[in-house]
Amino acid sequence: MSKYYPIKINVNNNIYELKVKANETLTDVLRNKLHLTATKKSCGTGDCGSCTILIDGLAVCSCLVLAVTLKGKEITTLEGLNRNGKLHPIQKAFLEQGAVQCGFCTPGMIMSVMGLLGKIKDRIPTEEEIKETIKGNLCRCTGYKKIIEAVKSIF
Amino acid sequence: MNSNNFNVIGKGVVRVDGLAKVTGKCKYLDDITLPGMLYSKILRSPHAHAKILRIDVSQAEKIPGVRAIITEKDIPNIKFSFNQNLADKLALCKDKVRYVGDEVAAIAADSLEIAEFALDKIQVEYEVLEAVYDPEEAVKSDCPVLLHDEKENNIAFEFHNEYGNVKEGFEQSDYIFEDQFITSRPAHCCLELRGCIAYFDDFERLCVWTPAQSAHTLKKELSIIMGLDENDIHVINTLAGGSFGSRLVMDMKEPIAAWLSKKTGRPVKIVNTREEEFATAKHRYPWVIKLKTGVTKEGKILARHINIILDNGAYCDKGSNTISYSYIFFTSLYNVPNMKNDAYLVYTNKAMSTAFRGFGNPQIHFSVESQNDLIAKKLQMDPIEFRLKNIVRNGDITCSGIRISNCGLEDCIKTAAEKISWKSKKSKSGLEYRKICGNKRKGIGIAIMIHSGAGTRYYGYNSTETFIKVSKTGLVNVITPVPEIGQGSMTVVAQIVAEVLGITVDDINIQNQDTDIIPYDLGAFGSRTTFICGNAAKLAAEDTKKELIKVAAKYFDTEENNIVFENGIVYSINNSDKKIKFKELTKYSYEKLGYPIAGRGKYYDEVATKIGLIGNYELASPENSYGCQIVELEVDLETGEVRVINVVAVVDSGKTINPITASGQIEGSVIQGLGYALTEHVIYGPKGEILNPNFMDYKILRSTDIPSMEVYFVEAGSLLGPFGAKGVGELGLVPTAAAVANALYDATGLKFTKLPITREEVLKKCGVLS
Amino acid sequence: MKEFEYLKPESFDQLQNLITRYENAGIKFFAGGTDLIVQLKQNANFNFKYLIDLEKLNLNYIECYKNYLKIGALTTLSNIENNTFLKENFPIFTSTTSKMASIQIRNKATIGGNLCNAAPSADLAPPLLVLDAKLKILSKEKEKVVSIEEFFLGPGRTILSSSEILKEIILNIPRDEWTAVYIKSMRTSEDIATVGVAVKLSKDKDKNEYNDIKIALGAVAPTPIRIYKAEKFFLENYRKQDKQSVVEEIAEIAANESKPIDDVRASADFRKVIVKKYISRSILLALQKLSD
Repeated sequence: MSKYYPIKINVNNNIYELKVKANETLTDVLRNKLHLTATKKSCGTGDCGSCTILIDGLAVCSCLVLAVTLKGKEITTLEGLNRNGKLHPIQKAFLEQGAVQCGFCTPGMIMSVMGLLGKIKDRIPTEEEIKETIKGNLCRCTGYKKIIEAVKSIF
Repeated sequence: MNSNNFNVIGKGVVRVDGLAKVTGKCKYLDDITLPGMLYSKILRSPHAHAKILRIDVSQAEKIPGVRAIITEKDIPNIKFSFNQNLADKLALCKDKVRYVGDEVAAIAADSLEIAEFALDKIQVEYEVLEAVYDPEEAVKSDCPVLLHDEKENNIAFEFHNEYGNVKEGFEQSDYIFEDQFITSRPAHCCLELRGCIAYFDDFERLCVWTPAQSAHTLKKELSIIMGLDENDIHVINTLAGGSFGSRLVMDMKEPIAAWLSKKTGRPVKIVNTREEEFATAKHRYPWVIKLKTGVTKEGKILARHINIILDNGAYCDKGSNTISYSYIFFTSLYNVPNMKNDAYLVYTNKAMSTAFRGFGNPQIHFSVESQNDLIAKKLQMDPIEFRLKNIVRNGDITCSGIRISNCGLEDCIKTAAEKISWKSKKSKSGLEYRKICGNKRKGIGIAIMIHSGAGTRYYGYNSTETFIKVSKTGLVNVITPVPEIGQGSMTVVAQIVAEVLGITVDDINIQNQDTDIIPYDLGAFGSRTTFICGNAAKLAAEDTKKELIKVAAKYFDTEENNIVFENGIVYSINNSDKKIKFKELTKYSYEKLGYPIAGRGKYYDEVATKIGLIGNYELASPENSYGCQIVELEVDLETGEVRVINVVAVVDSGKTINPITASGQIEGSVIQGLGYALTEHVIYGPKGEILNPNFMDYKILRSTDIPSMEVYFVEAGSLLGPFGAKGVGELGLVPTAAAVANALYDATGLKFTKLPITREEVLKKCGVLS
Repeated sequence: MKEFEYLKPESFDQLQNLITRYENAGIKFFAGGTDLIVQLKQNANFNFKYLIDLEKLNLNYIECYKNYLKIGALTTLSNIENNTFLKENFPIFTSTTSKMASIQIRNKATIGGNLCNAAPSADLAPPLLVLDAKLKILSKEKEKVVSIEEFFLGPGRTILSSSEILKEIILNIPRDEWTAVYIKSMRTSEDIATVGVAVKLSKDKDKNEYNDIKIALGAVAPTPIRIYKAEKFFLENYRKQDKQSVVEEIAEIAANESKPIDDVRASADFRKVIVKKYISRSILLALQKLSD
């Protein structure tokens, strides 16, 4: 008989009360229980970054997070970015600089950048910092160049 | 063709599918859940080669939540291959499994968890057989392992063709070069895992949702393997998270999901795990190449003979096409009067391969372009000088009968050389740059390329259509078969239509997903979508415009040839003060004239029907694209580490419709090319199991690996393409591995003939490792 | 993933009760989860009944004292990477952690997890070996301190029993002039170490002589290892021979002491070559840093 744990999690400033098994990952809870499908599943082992979200402002691979550990934490996904129908500057930059091709890595990529923005406040990051920020996000389409340019362009 | 006065063509407009992607609203296959949907897992062979003695599903059937299990007993015994003449694969194995990952059974259950749990309960008894992994062993007539019992040997397909007389060509040559090259087995590594959803709709028609590169072809393939009428099949092409050729041919998941759906009466979804993806979503064909070239002492290439053994894997897919397609380009990059190809597609007990960006051309170019530098060195010619002496130019007719036109190859070479300062870097006076610095060496290498810029004709059909319907409120719906696999093809079509109608892409709605709606088309391959679908879109837009002109002429009470469409406004040139917005004109047409607006464009390629799979190469590709890449790198001779510093890629893809999406395609494919050259390969263990089915040990390049890149376009133009455009999607990857090998040759004097050029390969060549 | 039950004690007393209650049924301790969850997904034999989350035990800290430094076992790699005191006084931590995985992983992975997972290639092991780290282990109700040299037993195995946890890493703050470097051989810019080399070199300022060297290797033996033979050779010979030949001989000793295997990442032969090169380079780098 499977054991379920009641959790209350804050996702994009919405509180959800759910029952999860101990082995359920945050990726699966976001996608299957909350129907927030922007966060993608691609490798399941924290190597590709497609499932990147923010937990208390830090970029993390949600496929390596057990939902049951998230009491009291704030989770931000790509869906939490454009409230009120307005695009975040990084989303606009991705569009204008051509940093999106197939789009599958885009949610994780943008969330990694959001992690950087939270860390550096008003400072302008170096190119090395930008590359390191998205090192954990694989992209097979763009070759990363336009993604890096898009991040640079918002400062 | 008015080359410089475009409003939308040549502009880097924001891609039409971009907003949905940056907000995460767009749905890929695995984001979709249909009511009542079941989840499926496939039981795969753990053995590379074995007889199936017994399959017992009884324990698995008892698991609560399991709704259906199928084995080969439950499906028609119809073999399939992309080239049906070579059909050798059953959707679920009967009698034998032939590679680790071969499909044996499948379960549909209420949840993925239940399906996974129940899969473990299926019992299969195997008798393990000897396996063969090396195609050079498998090709031998005395090879003790035979994969397909109905065949005499392990040669799935052979190709032999000669133009001119290579024997005579070699006799007339002053120097003969014979080299062997071995290319690797990379995986596509699409971030979106392969999957599908299948169900039978209200009219008992099979409906399959999947990110196919060729939705109509998938219909045909499903009809073959399932024994269904093609009219009873309907494919919905979902958005693809990368394809690179991997989604061109049906995967056994599609019919398996369909049979499970038939059995349960419910939609069934199957999606690979990443491990399954590496093991079964097919790879690029590994080639063993023997290349013999004869040249005069003045540097004229007289003859080339290529002998290829392709590692087919366990079943046939696009291998035969890869051979014949790439042969076209083997014969048409240089003016060589005598050329011969002997190629063998050989079965091995490994995963299948399929189309992969470049489609045999990267392998051809790796061997040809690497050897060219060896030849140039021997003749004491600069590599560029040697190439310029032999490349094709406009007006040339190759030995294979291809008439060269719209060729910007020479321009590409000269531009690349200038941008990277080739002369100064290569010459002796550039010693400062090519400094010998302890254990490190720097080098610069060039490779040129030719590739199809408009697909190929040899499937016998190369036409397509587009329909446009314009709504009362001015929304232009373009019904086009162009698949969007990330390359920006929807945006290119939108730009072409927008240019013709004098509007922006914001008022264009691309419909490209449903085979019941979209015209028949062969899909995204051979860098054809801009050319083929773009042409059809342009014709449809022109047809639509004719209708709108009629309406406008009535509105302005003037001659039709006075009407101008510009920036969303319509006016008459003899009274430009009176203007009407495009959207108001359409409203006028519907409300005042009662006249609906639509258009149709048929791109009809009559020539295609005259060609088969083999032969008639002079007609093979309506248009070719060209390019040149120069790579600068540094190699550490003590550790084997290669650091690529800069890549300059110059491409002739005709008129660049969207410079941002086009340069993005080149940049992305260069990085894939560097991975192909240096780090990527699927590694097999002694029992045919893949040792690195994950991103930790299958190394694709990351943001911190990339060199600086410069991309330039030389617009040699195409008379046949829409606004002079040609294809661009594969051009960045074709020459890269050769350019890297040539840069390493420049740096070290050592020939790197085996891909990938890992640290260990470098140290082996240096004599540090045995 | 197999199913298990989840427990999150809020104090060491609660932790002890849970261990006592469940250790026979099978328990695993949870820190960042970046290794554990991957193993759960990939390894069919990796299972247990109870997962005990250590997050609430307040083991995420870096505390600096006059003569020593304490790092809690659940300190994340990001916290280590960005810590100002460590950046200034133990820059080897910043340089090592910044080479580990990606930011996403470092935001969750912990120093304790890296050590307890005990991969032969664990990046923090060679630096901690050359820094002579002491490890505080909580065993039943008792605490004991062991040297890191005793900690690793084999690939994936440490001296910890299934009911013991690593609590803290303790480092002495060296008094002499010193430097430590860690260099890592990788296939691409993000990778598990094919070879990892750490060197710590100390100089007696007054006597102007090197008085200590510590050399450790990762990924080339069943555990991360110190190369005592090479260390001894350096101290005995650096005054007698020229720098280059000392370094070359040390590199040879280290290569001989290493026991690398062939695996999907590299061959044993390749690793031996790299050990030699990287030992030379890291010692030369350390020498250069101390003479600046």
